[in-house]
Amino acid sequence: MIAAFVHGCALPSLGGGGELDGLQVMSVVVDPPLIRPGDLPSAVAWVADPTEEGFELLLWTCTDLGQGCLESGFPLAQWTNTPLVADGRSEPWLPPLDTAAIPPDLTLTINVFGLACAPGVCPEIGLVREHDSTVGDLLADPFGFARTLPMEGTSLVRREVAATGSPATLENRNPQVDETPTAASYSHVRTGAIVPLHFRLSDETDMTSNGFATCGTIADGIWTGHDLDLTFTAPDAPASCEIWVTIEDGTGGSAVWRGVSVIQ
Amino acid sequence: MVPAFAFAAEPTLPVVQEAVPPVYPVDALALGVEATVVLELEVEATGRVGPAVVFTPAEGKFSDAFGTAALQAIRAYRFEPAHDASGAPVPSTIRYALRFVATQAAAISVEGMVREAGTRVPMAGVEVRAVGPRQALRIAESDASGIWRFAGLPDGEWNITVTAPGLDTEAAVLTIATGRVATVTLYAERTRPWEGHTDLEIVVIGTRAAPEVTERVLGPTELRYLPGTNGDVIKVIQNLPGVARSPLGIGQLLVRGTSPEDSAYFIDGTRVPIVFHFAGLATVVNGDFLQEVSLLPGNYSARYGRQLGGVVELRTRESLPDRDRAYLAIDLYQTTAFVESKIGKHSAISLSARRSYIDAILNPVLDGLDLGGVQAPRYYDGQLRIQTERPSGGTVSGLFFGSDDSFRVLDDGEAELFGLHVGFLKGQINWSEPVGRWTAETSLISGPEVQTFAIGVDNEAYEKPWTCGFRHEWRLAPGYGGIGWRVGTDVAGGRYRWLFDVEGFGDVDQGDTAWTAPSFYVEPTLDSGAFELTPGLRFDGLLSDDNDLSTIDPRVSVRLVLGDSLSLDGGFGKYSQFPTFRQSKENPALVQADAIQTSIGFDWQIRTHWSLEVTAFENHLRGLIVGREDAFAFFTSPPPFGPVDTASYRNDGLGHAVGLESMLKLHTERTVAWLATTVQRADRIDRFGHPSLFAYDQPFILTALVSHQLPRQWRLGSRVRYGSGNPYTPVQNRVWDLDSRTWIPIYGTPDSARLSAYWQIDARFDKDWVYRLWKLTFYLDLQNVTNRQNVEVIAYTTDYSAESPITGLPIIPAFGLRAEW
Repeated sequence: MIAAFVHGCALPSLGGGGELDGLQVMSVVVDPPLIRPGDLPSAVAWVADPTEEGFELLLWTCTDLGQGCLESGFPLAQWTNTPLVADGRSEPWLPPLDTAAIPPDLTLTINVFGLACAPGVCPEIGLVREHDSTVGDLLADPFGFARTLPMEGTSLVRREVAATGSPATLENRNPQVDETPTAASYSHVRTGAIVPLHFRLSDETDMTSNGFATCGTIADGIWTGHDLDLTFTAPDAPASCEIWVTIEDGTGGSAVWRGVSVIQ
Repeated sequence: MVPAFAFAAEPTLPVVQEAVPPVYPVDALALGVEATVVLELEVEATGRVGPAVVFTPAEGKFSDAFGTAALQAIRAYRFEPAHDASGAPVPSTIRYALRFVATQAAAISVEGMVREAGTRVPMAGVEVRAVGPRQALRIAESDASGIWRFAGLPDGEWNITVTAPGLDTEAAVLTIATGRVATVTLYAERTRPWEGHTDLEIVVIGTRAAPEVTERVLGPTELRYLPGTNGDVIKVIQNLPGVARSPLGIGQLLVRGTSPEDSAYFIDGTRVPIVFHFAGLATVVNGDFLQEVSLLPGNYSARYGRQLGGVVELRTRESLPDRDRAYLAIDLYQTTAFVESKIGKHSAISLSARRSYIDAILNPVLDGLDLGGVQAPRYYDGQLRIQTERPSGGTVSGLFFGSDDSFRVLDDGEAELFGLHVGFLKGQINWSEPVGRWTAETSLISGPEVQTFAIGVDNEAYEKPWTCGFRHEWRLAPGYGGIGWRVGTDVAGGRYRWLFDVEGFGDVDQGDTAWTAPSFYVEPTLDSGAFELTPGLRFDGLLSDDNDLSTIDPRVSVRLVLGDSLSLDGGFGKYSQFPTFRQSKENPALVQADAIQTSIGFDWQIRTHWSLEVTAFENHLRGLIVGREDAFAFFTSPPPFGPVDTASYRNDGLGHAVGLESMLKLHTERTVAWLATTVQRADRIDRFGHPSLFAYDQPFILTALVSHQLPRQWRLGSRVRYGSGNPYTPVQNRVWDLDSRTWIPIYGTPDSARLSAYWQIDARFDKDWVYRLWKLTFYLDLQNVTNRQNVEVIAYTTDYSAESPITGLPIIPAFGLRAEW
């Protein structure tokens, strides 16, 4: 009962009220989210850096069959990547996944981890860049690795994707963003302004959304069919705000939108 | 009446100056019975009568009545004292024969009754004085019914008072006229009950009855006044050694390193589902139904089984009430009404009802604590008890009782986020009968229970047991050098339905099982006077849809009495606990866990009012059921945050607890005080062989408590509690899971942190205003006087970036009024 009491009070959220005040990997979008034979998957990370102090990014995969990550015995280059990030979006990473090696009756769960660290906080990222294999054992135990990291100045996320050896498995795609707010509607607004943000998306399943902002506030999204409406409220002082909207389809598919609003 | 002298001194004899007609015993006078009583008395040098006794009693069935009347009359006699050879008055001892002649009996001038103010209980053995014209003095004493009489008073104005140590009384001024009988009722108030009168109920703390190695017994009368308990008798057990403090003070019983679900509450030998309302604010049974509350922390009799931890036994009153009474108590949390009445000479009925309104009081406080819309619980309970004394000396009682609790958490829009409801309705029949030197006791209890939990419309959890319990026991107390026996059967059974469909707490878990748990026990006691040996054997079985289990638990306890004030006690035994039905359904291969309990200690009556009890204990817990810590549980759960074992249930856990308990007690007519300490360590080993501390390991617990009665019906008390904080595993980091949109905490080194120590100081003030027919009591129970923010549970911010401790209640000035008739 105590557990229910306390957990019941702790509803999930990325931060308090959609406010971003620290380095945060906002999403890792894997395309396609369900990897079938012949697919060439890619992963793109989205990172918010409200303090603009810069950061390093590490992506790696961990296929856990119950005894640690399968990847631990492989060369680092095959399961790790340190992409560059521009405007919050990383370079696509194409992990060399051999989908043909997966038996037709097997579906693997592949965890894609994304770690963003403020400069100098995570020396392990430098070791990955240098292909130092000693860091492999550490990354092969992601949660143990997380235990060694400081909470301040780091952000670690996990995306779970499925890789199947069965070609008959139905395709699953990421939500497709058909319509986004026009830049004119949010790029330059007055202090305290209320800015409606309208999206139209399409996907095979119901979607959920979260809105975040590095300054100002953003209200929960309202779905009407495939139309999503959010409201961004500009802060009362001039600033430059990043607005983030993340979309999940509940089956591994995701989409991200990022906009910058200059508050005058 | 013809006085006669028996000479006891020479040369000058005392001479009666003023003789007082005795009050002729009414029944004897009606039958015309006459008598002579010879008294031996001291005549003081002043001529007053000093100590007097009956030297030769009257014959016949009115002997006592004549003796009492003669003694009362002689005390008002006046003598010319004896004189020595020099002519100086000297004290002397004489024998004086007082003759009761029916035809010369003095007419009753005034009669009345002495009652205790407030309770209206007749007071026996109280001296009544009548002072009349020219300072004439008469003295009477109230009989067993509180009745007193004066006969042959000269006409005039008389002032009648009650005089006795510790009593304040009103005076009655009466005009006596020949041929008329005046009547008056005098009310006496016990303003200093520690003086003189000893017929107040004495609280017995720490007495134990064989064969228990450690039994801490609490009587209800004065414990109601102990600070920090809000007048709740049963809550006092949380101040005893061996009992650790449960998080948020919700009343869970944590005894000697065992979990809350390992201990049990019994009423008259049959188990009850819960004893405390939510948050431990009050108990579900009115303390006025109880004769005593016993805590058996371990190594208890074979009478009890099916649990690894301690036992709390609530024993309802055996004797009939001595009067009709009722009260209405209104305090900060609740209103309680209680009525008790005798039915004829051998039966009585008691009724109690209670309804809380704590939600209205505490909700503003909880809002201030920012607990996210938590609403304080509301509860009510009721009890009806009928008891009757049989001509054989046995008693039969029926107790019907029920309880209902609700607790909610609301969102900002006042809509219910989740709600919890707990209730039960029970009927119990208890029959105790002497059969020769044996006592046979039979108890039967039955009734439904319900616990429901809901979050929104999609989540639901409930447990709906219907439990029956039956106990039939024969007892023979050991005489000196003899053998005593306790033989009985303890059968439980019923039906248990449950559903746990709560998101975030594992898969849907549902079941419905019928079950029976037979038990037999035998326990001889070999008593050689100074040495007492009690071996015991208990068989327990469990027959249910998912598994059939049985166990035999041997136990033994010894006591060695060393002189009048010291005894050594020890015990060793096995205690088994079956898996729950929910656990057995998930893994039918589960078997019972057991505890090998050992304890040794001593009881030392240091001085008349001081005693010391020390007990060392060790518990080895084997086959503990581990796993599914992610599953929803109503009342028992590990601390909410920490690594959890989500695998299937297995009997793979081990545990160990060792400790030393001590209790130094002071109990006088005015003061109840004790200092209870527990030093202990409790460990667990999980299914992987990893050692850890027990989740409620509290190495040191101290409770100092005092309640002192002052003149004029004031009572003051204070309590200091200290307890080590529970261990916990801190969050080292966290991972944002993009798919579930939840934070996954990454825990650090197990048990590497401990909650800050718990400190609380409470104070209590009681004041009674006693009127003739009723009594009004006001109390102020200041809980957490220093407003200390004790950390009860470590929670975290939603992203686990910082600890967000949940603290206990702030200072609570619990006050109330109780009017008793």
